[in-house]
Amino acid sequence: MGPVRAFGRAARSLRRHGVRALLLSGGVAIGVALLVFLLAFVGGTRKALLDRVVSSLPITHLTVVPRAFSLAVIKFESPFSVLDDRAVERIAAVPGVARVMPMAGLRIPAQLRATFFGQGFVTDTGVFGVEPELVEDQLPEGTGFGEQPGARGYPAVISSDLIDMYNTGFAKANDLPQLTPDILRNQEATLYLGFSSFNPGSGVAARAVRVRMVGVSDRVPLVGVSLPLEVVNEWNRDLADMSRPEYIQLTVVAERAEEVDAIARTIEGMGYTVTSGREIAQRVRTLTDVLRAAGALIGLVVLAVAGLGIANALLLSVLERRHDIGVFRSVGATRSDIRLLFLCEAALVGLLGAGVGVAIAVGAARAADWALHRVLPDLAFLPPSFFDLSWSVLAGGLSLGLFVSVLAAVSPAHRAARLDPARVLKTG
Amino acid sequence: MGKSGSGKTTLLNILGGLDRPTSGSVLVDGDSLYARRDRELSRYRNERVGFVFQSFHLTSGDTALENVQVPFLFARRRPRDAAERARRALEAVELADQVDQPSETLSAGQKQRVAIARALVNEPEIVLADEPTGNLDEETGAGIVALLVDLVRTRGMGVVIVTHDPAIAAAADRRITIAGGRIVGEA
Repeated sequence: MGPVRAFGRAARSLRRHGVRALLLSGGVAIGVALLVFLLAFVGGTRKALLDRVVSSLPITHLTVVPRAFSLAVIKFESPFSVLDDRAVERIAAVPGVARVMPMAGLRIPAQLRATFFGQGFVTDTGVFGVEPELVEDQLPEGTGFGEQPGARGYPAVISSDLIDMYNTGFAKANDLPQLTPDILRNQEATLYLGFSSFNPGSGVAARAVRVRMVGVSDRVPLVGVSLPLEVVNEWNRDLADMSRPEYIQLTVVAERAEEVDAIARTIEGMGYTVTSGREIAQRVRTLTDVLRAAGALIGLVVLAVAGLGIANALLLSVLERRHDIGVFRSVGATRSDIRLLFLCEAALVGLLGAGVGVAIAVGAARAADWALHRVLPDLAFLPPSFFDLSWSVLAGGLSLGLFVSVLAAVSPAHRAARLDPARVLKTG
Repeated sequence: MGKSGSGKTTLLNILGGLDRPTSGSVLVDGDSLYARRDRELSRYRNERVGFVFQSFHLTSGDTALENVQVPFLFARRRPRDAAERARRALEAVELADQVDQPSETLSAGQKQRVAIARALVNEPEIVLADEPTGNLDEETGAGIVALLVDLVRTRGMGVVIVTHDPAIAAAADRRITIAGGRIVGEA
């Protein structure tokens, strides 16, 4: 008997026992739905997290900061772990390092004054200097971040996370309009150097400079405005009496991702603290692997229970249909034919259940996406979907439902095939 | 012929390739039937013999027509005119008007007619009938035997009928009596 005939007969048998078939399929559907939903969620979250990590710190990038010691809430930086031009040179000489991009902090207080949506806005702020190359690929073309200041002031970049925080917290609380990178772009503000609301009597003479927002980036410090490194170095020299520049962080770019770990070890050996995009990505992968395994385990347990249900029901079915099996054998069915009939029934139950399960999972994922996007604040890094409903996940769920069902049918099918036709027909 | 427990059904099953003998052999075309593999033995049952059982043994939930087509399900090649052949077999047993009736709703006599149609539909060389009237009243049983004998004769088939009813045995060309699993008489 060919598979087409076997499936045809199996389908008829299932139609006859519709309620039982639906119940068995229901078990498979729940297992597959749970499995696909959880795996898709973990996969989607992992993708979103990795996209975020790779965006802020690509896998070829490392950040280097001075080694620090914490005592309760107080943090001490090691005096032997200074990031200056000498350190930059030493790190740039490490094999495999393609580029070193220092980041400096302005060593005097600063206050930002601007007008947004017709309202005056004043805040103390950190001021940071970054290499234009660090952020240029995240800014619109032609923003001229690395260029000399024009009439409209120094080019400045702020953190995309800061906009999220403003939009979800401050703006909502004060009923202010939401900010977007487009609205911010070309906004002008005045930066008062050496002036702070907390320390109005600072000894340094205040200097007012105009700044012009050119975009947002997730690679600049959260609280503050970031300007080209040369500008901040110059202000530190002129206003904070720093004869030699010192940096708060270096971004090291490796020639190849595979060299990142070795470079990190070398730089750590020099007395600095290193974080690599590769390492963070690896941590995200490890964490999501654990979550994925947990999700898979839950789905598999439900599927295993469904499989046991199918096995039990088919064993019962073998008992109920032993006369039919005897008749089939008497009119020419081989043992393989009988086995195939039961396996086909289980396969149909599995396909139906898995198909419904996948459909439920896709529907639930869409609903969850819709609900999450309604409930969660409108953050820039929120992914369009929290679920990775790729074909591999869907096909995997479908295949697993089918596989578990067929596996559950192996023993009952074998038992049916081994029935002695003469004996079962005699007892009828 | 023989009393209950004499081994009549066992002999029939052994002849039909359904029950393996504990000793001895069955030769078909000079070859030992039970030396064949399961697939070949199944093909023998499908193509060369047809069974009629005392309890009819129609498949549950199927119509009369579907029951008659069951042997085609396991045939090496399902004939294109399988449904037509099944219909003709049902016409031959005078059930042309019952083709779509679920087997459960048929009377005992009709069920046995469907079983005969199923046994004949593949045009086997021999029909093996095990107490075909055992579950029927006398009149219906006599009609069934007459029909069966008539059908196999007109088709040039052989038929082995197991019975303990001398009236049915009288319709046979050859009568063998067994007791305790051995032939004790032949006429």
